[in-house]
Amino acid sequence: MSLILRAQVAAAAHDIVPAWPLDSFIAVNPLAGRESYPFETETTAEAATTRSGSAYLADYQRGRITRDDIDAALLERIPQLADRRLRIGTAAVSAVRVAELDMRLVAAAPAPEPVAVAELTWLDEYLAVWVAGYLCPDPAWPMPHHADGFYRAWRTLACLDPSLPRTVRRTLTTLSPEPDAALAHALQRLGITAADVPRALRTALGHLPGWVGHIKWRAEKVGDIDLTSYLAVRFTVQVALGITPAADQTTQTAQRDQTTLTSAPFWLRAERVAQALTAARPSREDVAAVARVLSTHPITDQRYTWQKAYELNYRTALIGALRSTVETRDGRNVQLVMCIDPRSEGLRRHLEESSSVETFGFAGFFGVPIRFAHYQARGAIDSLPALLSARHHITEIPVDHEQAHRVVAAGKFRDALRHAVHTADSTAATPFAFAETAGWFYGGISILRTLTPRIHARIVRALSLSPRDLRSDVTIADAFTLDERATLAETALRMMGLSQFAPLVVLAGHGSESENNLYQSALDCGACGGNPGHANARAAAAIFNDPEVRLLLADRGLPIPFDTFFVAAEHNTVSDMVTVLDRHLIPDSHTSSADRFEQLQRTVADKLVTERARHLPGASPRHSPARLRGRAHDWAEVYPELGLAGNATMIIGPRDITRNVDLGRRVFLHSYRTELDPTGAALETIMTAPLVVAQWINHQYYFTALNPDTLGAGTKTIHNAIGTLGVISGHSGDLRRGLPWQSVGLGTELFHEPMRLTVVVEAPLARIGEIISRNQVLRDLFDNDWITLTARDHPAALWHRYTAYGFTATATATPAATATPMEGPHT
Amino acid sequence: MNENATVAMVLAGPWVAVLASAIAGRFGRSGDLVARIAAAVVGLGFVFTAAVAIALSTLWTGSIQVGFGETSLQLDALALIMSMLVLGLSSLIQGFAVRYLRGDPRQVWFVVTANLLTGFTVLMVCAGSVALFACAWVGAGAALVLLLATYWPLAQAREGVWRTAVRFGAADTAFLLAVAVLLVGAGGDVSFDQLGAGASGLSAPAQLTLAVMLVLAALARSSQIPFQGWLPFTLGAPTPVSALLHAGVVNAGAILLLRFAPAIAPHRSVMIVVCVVGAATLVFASAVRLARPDVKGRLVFSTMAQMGFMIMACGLGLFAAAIFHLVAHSLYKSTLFLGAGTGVRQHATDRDLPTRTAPSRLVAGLAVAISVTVTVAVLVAAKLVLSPAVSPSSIGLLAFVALTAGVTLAVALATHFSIRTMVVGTTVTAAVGIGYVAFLHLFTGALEPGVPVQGAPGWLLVLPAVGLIVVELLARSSTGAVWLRDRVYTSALAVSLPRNPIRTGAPL
Amino acid sequence: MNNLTKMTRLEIVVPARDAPAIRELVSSAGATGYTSVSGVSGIGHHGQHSGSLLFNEYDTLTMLITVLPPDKADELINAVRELLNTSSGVMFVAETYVSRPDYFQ
Repeated sequence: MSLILRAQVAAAAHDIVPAWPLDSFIAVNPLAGRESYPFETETTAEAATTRSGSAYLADYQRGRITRDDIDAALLERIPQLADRRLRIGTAAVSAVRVAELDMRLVAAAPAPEPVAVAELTWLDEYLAVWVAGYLCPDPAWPMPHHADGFYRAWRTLACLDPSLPRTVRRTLTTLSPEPDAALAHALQRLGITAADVPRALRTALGHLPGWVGHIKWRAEKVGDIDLTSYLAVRFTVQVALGITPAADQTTQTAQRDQTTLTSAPFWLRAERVAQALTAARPSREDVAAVARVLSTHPITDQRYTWQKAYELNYRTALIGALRSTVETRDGRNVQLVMCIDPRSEGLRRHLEESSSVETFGFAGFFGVPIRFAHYQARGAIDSLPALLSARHHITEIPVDHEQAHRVVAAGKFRDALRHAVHTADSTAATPFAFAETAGWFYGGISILRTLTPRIHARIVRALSLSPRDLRSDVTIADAFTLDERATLAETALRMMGLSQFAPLVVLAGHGSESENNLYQSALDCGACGGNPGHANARAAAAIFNDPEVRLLLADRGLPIPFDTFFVAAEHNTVSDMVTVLDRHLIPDSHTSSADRFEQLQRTVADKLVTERARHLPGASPRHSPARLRGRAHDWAEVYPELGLAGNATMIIGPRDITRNVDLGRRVFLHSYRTELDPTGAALETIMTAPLVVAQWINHQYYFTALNPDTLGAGTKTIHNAIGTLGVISGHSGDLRRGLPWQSVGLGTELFHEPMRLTVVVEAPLARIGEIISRNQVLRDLFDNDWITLTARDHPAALWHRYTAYGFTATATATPAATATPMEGPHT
Repeated sequence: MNENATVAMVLAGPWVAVLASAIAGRFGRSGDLVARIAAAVVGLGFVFTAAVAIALSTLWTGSIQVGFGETSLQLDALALIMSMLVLGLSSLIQGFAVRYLRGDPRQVWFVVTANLLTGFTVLMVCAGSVALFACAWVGAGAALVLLLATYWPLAQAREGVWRTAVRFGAADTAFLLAVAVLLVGAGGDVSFDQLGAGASGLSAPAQLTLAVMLVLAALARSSQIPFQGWLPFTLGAPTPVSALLHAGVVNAGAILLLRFAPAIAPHRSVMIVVCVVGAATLVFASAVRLARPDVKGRLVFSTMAQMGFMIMACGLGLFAAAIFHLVAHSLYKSTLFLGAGTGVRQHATDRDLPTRTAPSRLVAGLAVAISVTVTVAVLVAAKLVLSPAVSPSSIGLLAFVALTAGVTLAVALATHFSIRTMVVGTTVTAAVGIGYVAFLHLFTGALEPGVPVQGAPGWLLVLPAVGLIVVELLARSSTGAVWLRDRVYTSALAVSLPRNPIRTGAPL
Repeated sequence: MNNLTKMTRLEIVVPARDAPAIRELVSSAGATGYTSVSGVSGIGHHGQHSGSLLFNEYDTLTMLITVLPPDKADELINAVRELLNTSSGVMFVAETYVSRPDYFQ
């Protein structure tokens, strides 16, 4: 019995997306469990999947959606409308025109109510307190009996809970010590029949989705709590207190939505359209003809057509802007490899204005999945995509032992101060006098940080010697065998299509810098598990510079000239500065070109920071770059940068197609050249890893923008952190999911345009089709319209759109005259 | 500049900001601009007040008093210190909020109500007579409730507003009754100088009742038992509101006790009640704080415990020490609230620090010996030289400082025993210890109420001390006193549990 | 049969993201161990599945193989069947013979 129950719990939790902790923020598609179903059937009551009709109509009126876009979207969704014409009155009208007119007329009707935030029940709040108390990562008073597991600890303590009636406490002492048995018993006591158990479990798991998602993550990665014990507590309390589950609110709202939508007067629609088409009063035949067309496009589908039109407007302009000419280049002194992150696009574009620089896009972990710890550090980070688990541990070996000694001593001194202050602040009897004495210093710091954040940052930096300052080598040879290293290197080169090497190759990972920002990890590198990517860049550079690796690479047809040197760097996405790392490793022959690169980069960074200021709330291009960069150190700043807001597209192909095109920092750019990938393995890796990560990010932004209060984390201003595990809003409640409002909008307006990822690939169509057909994840995403794919074989070929039935050629792409979707996120 | 103008300038800042922001907000000006102007205006008010304070303490002695009949405003030491604190912190927090609440649809609301609160608070601390104080007191309470309503659409925010309003309403009614009795008795407004005389005109039981009613209002405002049930529910308002609340409003209890000391302090029984309530809140809130998992929840209960400490000091008759604690704690807590989002960054920094090794027995012993010696030597020397007057209560408070300094220094040394730690740690301890004694001495000179004080006996300090030690031992206990530990932990956790809607259980 | 003991062998092929739940069931059922093969390829009900992916362990298929006494197997089989109702995956059950039954008890 109990094993079946466990299986039922697992089955009920199947569609729940695990929620990573806040300190390694991983963007996920909150509806990932539904990816095996078509996007458009995803009419869940708890999530909006598109905006409201009136929002799209406003876009139409300001030209963000054109009639051509609507027509194209209609034809994509309802192919049978093509070439169908009907006669209304005296004029001949195309069916598409009829449907298009209908959309514009209907959308003017009032929008359905937005998805409401579910009120928490008493039971939800009760469980939220216990789960938070149990999982708290830095408890001042750890929950007693924590080692016994969640259910047992609760069972022991709840018997003493003064907030429960005495009779309830007494009955709790008779509970089974096993969560499985307790859950089974409670379900039985509630009179839930065996057939109803799955539904009851699913309903229970639908409450507190944030905590439930985190428990699912935790059960897999840590193992000190699982959903069975969570549900055991939940149902046991429900039975003990005699709580009857309130009528299922979510299904009620779903039904209400459904009825308002379907009961819209169909004939009225037809009549209105017919009237608009004829000057006179339409005849019954006219209305009937219109109605026949409209029946192919039910009103519930219209918002999907609108969304598609909204995306097509962008895609048409994008495809039109892509280039079809190949230029042969030489004389490049520097090659820069950056993360596919859209924020790299701006820097690459500006750097390439200098003919001496060529850039590439590759996943920011540079193909080296590692767990990294600084020299003698107490903790490590898993610097790798969430799709992988850490197997290779890397640390540092100092070059200069005297310096290493100083860095460690400084660290220990700092630790002593931290520990002393923390103890004084958190021990029961000491905070009173501590506040009286330390308060004066705190006040001073507060003034400094608020009025002159940049000076404060400078003082802090001057006072501390960070482990990042240590000159060291990464222990790459201990973590990977020679063969593994050569394979990693070969894979990376083939994936990004790099075979002609400049004398200096810069591998730039990226990290963000912000103060007082619980979501700082969401601004770091997604390919590095929400960490800054410097360690991976250093590891990759070490691999590429290894003479033994180069010998093996030459054997495999990828010779690297002996005068080519790889350096690691880090792109700071707030300041847009690229700092070259491990300078001590650069041979004298290359120092001058590294210096020149840094110099060039600095001027470019200023331009880019100013460019970005146009879209950054509270910033202006008139501000000095120093002031704009100061946001990184400002503890009051809730918009240190815009992160990946605006992301809309992933382009896989040679840089030739996008060079000198302003893509507005909205595009994941992965370099790829068919010639270097004879087997197609590299493309398969790109499409199953970087593309999937980009899709997770895209959908995280998409659904956060559409559901800022349910699938998003709401406003940052009332966030209340539970250690590094997550945040709640206010004093209690569910763990928040997704991104905060400040990642997608300002005031009441979105600056992130919610669009499903448009994937653009330049590679043989047959190869792409094959890869999709043998990977379920891609079939689900593309066939079910969660994201779209447009591809062409080579620069001279036509663009084709992928459908579940194969590729179809798109109409010759001409840049749309009206729209300017290459712009960055609109403000 | 004449006295009227000076007082007006001190008081005017926030009111100008209220008017300007309300009007600008009404005419649809951007919240950003409104917030900037308001913060700047209040900042100017702070600068002016600081200038007045410096001028008063160097040029003249004594204070400025402006009267309209019996109703009066005064700029004495307390008024100046508190005005500077309130205006300074208010403008600082508003400056923070300019960026923090950027684009927020409720930004203008925040600016208006925050300045309303600031204005009433400054008026309250500068009030020289009972009626004016009472008006400002009630006004500040109402302004706080409005400020908490910043995110009115949120259910949590509404719950906080409601809970606060009910508790303030109940306690302030008692307070207003007491004030009414005083005013009727005197046939008009009573200046605080005349308060003692006015109150002593009443019968003994009436005096006691009056004192208790005044105390109730102070307890509610400072979230003391039995009025503790509002502060933890105010987190539905944005962070700057919490900073303002924890740095300003909750402190008002001590101000009331000090201003009304002529009517309260002569009654030893009332002072003992105040002291015991403060001590009880202190122990209770300390225990809850340890069990809270959320960073702001910890800050809330930390504040409650700190307010307990402050109220307890008032009960002991150490009004100056209470005000000293109030000012330092305001700076401390507002900083912690504004920085409530630093946890993730801090964790990342700590992760890169060198591995911590447990100190050897020798090092631990040395660390303790050194820290005890240094702390005791510093404090005793400072006390003897700078502030030789002693009382059991002041020695008790000094013991808290000694314990804290000793623990801090010992932990630092035990974590990393090096010359650098020793030099820095000892220097800081010495500076802080001497600074504390000297500053407190200054405060005492400036703030002692000129009325006979029948403070609670100093040995009462044993109660919170024992309570805190028990809580600390229980929190660290792994096998000892299991039942008591579980019981206290669960009770502490249950404070955050929602009130159970069903009072009867069903058999399992 | 040569002093061999009859046991039941389960082979379960599921998407890697569902594997933790299966592993938990296998352990809870009292199996003393299992073998996990990640990145298995093949063709099935849902079409083709390529083998291991270089940088994605999450969207591949995993095969879990476990052997346990027949009396414990039934419960596990029922439980896995329950789980497979909601997710894609297959389970093969076969008799098998082991020489050292104490390893599997």
